[in-house]
Amino acid sequence: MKKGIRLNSKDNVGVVVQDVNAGEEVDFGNGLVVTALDSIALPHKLALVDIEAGSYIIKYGEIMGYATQDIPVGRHVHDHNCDSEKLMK
Amino acid sequence: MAHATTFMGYHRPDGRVGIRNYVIAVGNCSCANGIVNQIAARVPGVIPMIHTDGCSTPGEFDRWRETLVGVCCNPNIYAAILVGVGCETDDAKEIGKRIEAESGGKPVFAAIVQEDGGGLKVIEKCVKAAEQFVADAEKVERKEAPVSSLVLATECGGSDAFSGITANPAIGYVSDWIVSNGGTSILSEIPELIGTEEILAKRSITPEVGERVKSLIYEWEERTRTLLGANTSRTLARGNMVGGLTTIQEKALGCVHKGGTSTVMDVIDYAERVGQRKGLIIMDGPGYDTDNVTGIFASGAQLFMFSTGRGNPLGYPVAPVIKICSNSKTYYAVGGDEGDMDINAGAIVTDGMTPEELGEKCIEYLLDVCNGKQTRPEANGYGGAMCVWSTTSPF
Repeated sequence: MKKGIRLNSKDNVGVVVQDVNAGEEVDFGNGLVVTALDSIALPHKLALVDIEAGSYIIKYGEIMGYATQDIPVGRHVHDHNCDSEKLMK
Repeated sequence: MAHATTFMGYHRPDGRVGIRNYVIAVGNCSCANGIVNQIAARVPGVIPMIHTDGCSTPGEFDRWRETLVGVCCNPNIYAAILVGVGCETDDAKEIGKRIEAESGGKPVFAAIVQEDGGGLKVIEKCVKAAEQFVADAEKVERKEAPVSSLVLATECGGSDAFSGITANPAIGYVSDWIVSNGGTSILSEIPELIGTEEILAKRSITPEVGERVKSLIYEWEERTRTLLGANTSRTLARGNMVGGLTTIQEKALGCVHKGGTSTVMDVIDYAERVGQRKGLIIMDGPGYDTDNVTGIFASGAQLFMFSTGRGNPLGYPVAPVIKICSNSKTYYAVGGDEGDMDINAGAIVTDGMTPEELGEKCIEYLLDVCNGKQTRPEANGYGGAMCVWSTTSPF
């Protein structure tokens, strides 16, 4: 099983600390194991839960962006499905 | 773990303490750089400071002047040779007098090509002065100084998604230690704080300081929007995104860890002198590292702790830069031990080191560097130029 980090209990994304292949399980500690839907290079993010389009992406317990489409658990989260444009002042 | 609260440094006439003892040759503007290089080539021990600007940009004159004076007044500098060409905006000899006055009598020699017989004669005069300065500098001995006399610059460059998890918290740990010992730490790179304004405002000493932090970050957000429009959320370098960073807010939430958990005491301009300020200070300045490091050095920082995830090699010609790599993969990819990096913060992830153990190791390393140990950029000669921040174009 591959390793990941969930930085804050509020986070809905986790960071993989090893390169992960699609279909592999990633252990985020405290019993949270997620199966990756994509191949994900360290230290990119994957969704820890299903995230609806328009919802906030939370990392470090803080808002880092929002989902630009529905993101299922295990999916790679990056610029193809996450932005922060609307959060700007 | 109890650390030493003193180090051995170079005490300067103005009461500040250097951790290096350089003689520099610096141009009053970039047209003098060839002459500066010749002087440095002729006198071993003279560091050439290559000014990338200095003239023909009215919007920048005040900032550049403050920066040049601040760099020369930094306590890591024993003496300065200042080379002017004559037709530039500021008079090099007047600048020399300002440096002498502000530094309490630091040795300064200024010459001007168009007044002093041309470049070749200026080189001869400057070489003679530089030889004397180098001989005098060698007589200055290190003496005990308190950690409270340190001004730490925190910096990150070529960040990846590990930077905010490993290396930046380690820098924050050191920053908090310096602050708790009565010293000063500077957090800057303001566009890389977009999205953290509420966090920093809550940590500010007064509501007024908090408002200044917020308005500074908003000002940068507006400036960035003017440049990038809808792409403002991607105020990231290509390497940042390859390294797993998706939005500027995500990067900033990692960057802000460099400031540890200390109270924000004040906000200063780019290159504005720290003076008697203690604690965590925020300095206005760009995210572009080469420009930002010059501003922090001019403010009075003697050393840098610089995190990188991608393996950025940047050093500074006259200050130690401690490179903290965010991950083991990059650490070994850029040379491993005795390579480009000083400390592998990736050991938290790969070798079971705790964040506290890493922080403690960083403090000990910093003290060794203050006492004279060379950082990897110093050992490798990665000093570079004296790039100065500009927001307007030259005419």
